[in-house]
Amino acid sequence: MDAYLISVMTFIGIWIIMAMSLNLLVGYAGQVSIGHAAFFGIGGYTVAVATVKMGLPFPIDLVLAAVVSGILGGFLGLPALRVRHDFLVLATIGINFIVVAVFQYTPALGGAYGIVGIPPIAIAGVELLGLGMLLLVAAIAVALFVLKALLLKTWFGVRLIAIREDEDAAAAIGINVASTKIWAFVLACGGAGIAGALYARQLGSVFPENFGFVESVTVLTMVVLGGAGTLIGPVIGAIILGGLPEYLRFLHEWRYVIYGLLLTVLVIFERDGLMGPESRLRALLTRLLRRAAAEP
Amino acid sequence: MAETITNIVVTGCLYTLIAMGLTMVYGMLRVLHIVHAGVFAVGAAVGLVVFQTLPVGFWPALFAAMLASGALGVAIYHIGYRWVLDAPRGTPLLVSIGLFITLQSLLEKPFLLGAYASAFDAPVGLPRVQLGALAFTPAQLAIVLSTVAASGVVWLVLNRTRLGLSWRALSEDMNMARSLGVATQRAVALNMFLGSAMAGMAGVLVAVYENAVSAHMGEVVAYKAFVVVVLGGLGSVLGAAVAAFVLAAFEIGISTYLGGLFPRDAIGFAVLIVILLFMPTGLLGRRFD
Amino acid sequence: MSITIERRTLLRGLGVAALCAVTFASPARADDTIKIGFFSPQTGFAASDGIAALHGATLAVQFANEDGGVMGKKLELVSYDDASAPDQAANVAQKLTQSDRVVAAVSGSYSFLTRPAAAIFQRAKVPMVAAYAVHPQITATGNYIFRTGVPSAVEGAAAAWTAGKLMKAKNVALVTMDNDAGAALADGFKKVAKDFGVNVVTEEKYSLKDKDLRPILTRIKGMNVDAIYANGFYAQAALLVNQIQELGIKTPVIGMEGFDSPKFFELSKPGAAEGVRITTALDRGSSNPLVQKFLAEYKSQFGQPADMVGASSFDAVAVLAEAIKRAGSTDADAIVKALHGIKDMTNVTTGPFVGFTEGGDVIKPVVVQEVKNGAWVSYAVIDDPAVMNLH
Repeated sequence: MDAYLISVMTFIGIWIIMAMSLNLLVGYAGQVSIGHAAFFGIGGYTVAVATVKMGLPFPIDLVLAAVVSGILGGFLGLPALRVRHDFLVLATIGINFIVVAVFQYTPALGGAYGIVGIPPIAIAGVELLGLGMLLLVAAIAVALFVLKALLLKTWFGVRLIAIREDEDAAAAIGINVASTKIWAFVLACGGAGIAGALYARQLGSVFPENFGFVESVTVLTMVVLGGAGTLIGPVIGAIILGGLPEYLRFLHEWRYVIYGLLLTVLVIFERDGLMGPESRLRALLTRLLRRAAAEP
Repeated sequence: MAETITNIVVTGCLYTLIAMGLTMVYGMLRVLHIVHAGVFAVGAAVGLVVFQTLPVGFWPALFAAMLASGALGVAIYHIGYRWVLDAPRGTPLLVSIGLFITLQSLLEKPFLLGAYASAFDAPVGLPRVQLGALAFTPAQLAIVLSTVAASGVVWLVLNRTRLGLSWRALSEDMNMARSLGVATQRAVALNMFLGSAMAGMAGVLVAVYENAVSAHMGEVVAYKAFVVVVLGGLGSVLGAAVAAFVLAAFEIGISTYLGGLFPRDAIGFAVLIVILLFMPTGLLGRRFD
Repeated sequence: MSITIERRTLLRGLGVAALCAVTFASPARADDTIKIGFFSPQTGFAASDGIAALHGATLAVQFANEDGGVMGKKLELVSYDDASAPDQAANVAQKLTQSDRVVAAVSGSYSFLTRPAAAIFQRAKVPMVAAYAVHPQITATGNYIFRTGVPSAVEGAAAAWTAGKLMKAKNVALVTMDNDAGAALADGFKKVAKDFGVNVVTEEKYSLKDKDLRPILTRIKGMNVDAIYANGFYAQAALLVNQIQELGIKTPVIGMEGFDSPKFFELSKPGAAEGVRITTALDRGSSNPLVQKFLAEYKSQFGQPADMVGASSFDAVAVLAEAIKRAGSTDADAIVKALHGIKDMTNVTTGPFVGFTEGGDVIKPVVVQEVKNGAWVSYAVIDDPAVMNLH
């Protein structure tokens, strides 16, 4: 299979994991964050330090990345208890900048030099490159998708949605808003950490500039374009926006002009996202699936 | 010390100009209007082109830039925001992001600004001023005077005209205001126009101050403007002005006296977060919702 | 019962398939050219450097073909835009090695883009030359990775040499970008400063996003310094000298190759750039006919004077062309061997290339230029082994 195609799809798989994790926070818990790349970065840097400086093998580095990002994400949840809506949005942007600054100014994390020389994942002595890595990323993405779907069916999922709809009403009926919010942050940031871990392995290096505001904006865009608060939304958003720069290469230097216009138009046409509850795409796909299922 | 104070005053003025326009738009539409930074850059570009191609001085070029930016703002409302005003919050933000990406990518093209920065060396026709120990160069004086004038105009419109009254009504509750007879479309358009014109004005002033116009000059404004607006209390014009100077003072003060401990933007955000923890609705904000 | 497929759906499916085919199809193998891969940020905030690098590479291919090509065939540049995104750099590297099957490649990008790509080129055993990325570890990626830009250890040391030995400056303040390029140059300077009689009084870091250097300069104004060593790209260079002028600071400034751009002059206020000295590798007054031909052609084809990025990129392609010629083959190991065999190559704009280190970094002298009457003039050439052989 074409190595370029595999590379593109592997990155899309990583964006899918990122978008799904952010969706938990934005689409279900209703906490808009434009700082998610910080946790993507924390996951990546954890793997970098774990492999390059501590020589730890897979999957210990991946687990570590999820745990570290999750715990630090929980700390991010604390200010979120005080601060709401657009104030929170700015606070999340701030956290992103501060985390990147820490990466950039801490010599132990490589400082401006970043950390290079991250080896590919090796399972039982076999290096995962190309197709092998793509399959691993895909497997993790599918597993997380399923886990998320199951999670949302539990009482935790119900509490999340209650908070999203009306935080005060939720508190009034006895939901522990604070604890639920913090757990949402922990899980969402842990998911971003997993994506970051895979990203670091795929690139072989981490630099502070990989995890900034632009990356956070991009992943939020994937979630909202695809349809926040739906299971399949972030997946579609990641596939489209993650792949668009590559699909549009034939436009050469007009790539990003078209990208911007397309984004604007798509979002205006489907205000709840491409896979939103009443979107045309969802209706079309539902019709197709029903037709396929109805065939004897 | 004197240079530091001058710097704080000038930077505070620039932050005020940019944030006031953004606050006006946000206050009315409740949109995270990130493309405000794109209007900022377009304003600078128009100012440069007008100054270079027409036999006019700096101030007419500035005025032309303000008109163009205002018009662009109104266009952005009609192309983008008008359709999604009652959509979930993320949607107008994405429209703004899409438009911002498009604008920046267009400005980069060779037939517009190109990939390189361009110089904007325009004499502003003002003298150097010495106020005690503080010295202001002509460009710095232009910034201060423009900010004072623009702030005055905004205050007048908001507090002494029917238009300002309708803006405040629309900001409180758009549907109620509309049903009470406020001429909504016109008021919204004028609001976008004035707010965007201020962005354009800021763009030209920054371009002349730094002697550079580039397609991506809005990249910092894209988030910095929001820091000021949120710190001020989202929708409060006076709050934005106060926050502008508070932020400038902290950023420049810490950078000057503590050296390169941390990047300036991170310092600004840290200040914002600390203040928000104590005052969750900003310095002068009312309770949100 | 037969299945009726909606025509619309079918058309959509075909449309998607066609789009994929157009985007992802491997181009037909054209064996009558030798393909050199190239990638740089051609859109986005770094486009000015990416496009300059592309111009330089394009000119090198043109000159080589005018000279009869390589091994009887024409060189062809296969160029992609990485838009300053590391994942795009990685995707493009895969495309170049697996689909376009380039013989070798040049990176016209910064370090955080070059390093992921380098890993892919090394694994695919395709030689890659970095034109100007400064991260010390890039050539350490493997034996197929080379660099023709001046190593930061050398350039930083050259600045220290200039300050200490040539300008007799005892106390120097450093103004450094907070990215890897800035860090590497500052480290190069600091490492040898004492040896050349220089005392580093302070190191002030700034972010590329920051247009206001006044706080840093105000601090420096209050210190006793004989010179300021600053690094940055053309935009920062202009901001620096403009703000130094505004604040009335008279301390001389030593810059680096990022300053080496006509845009530096365009964006600095009258007189602000006067007297600034920079370490670079392009000697615009050089008697080497190739340098003058490059400068003239660049200006006439691309409408603006060449800068250091364009020159670096030119040389990266030129040295690859030379290596393929000497190897007489497109075999990767032969090219690598030929590169290491290069000694005293003068067919470059930023040379002469004395040779390559074992790790793949170029050894060449550093040129110091000074601004006199709004133009670059030669100030010194530093080829002392104490500087040139540092790595």
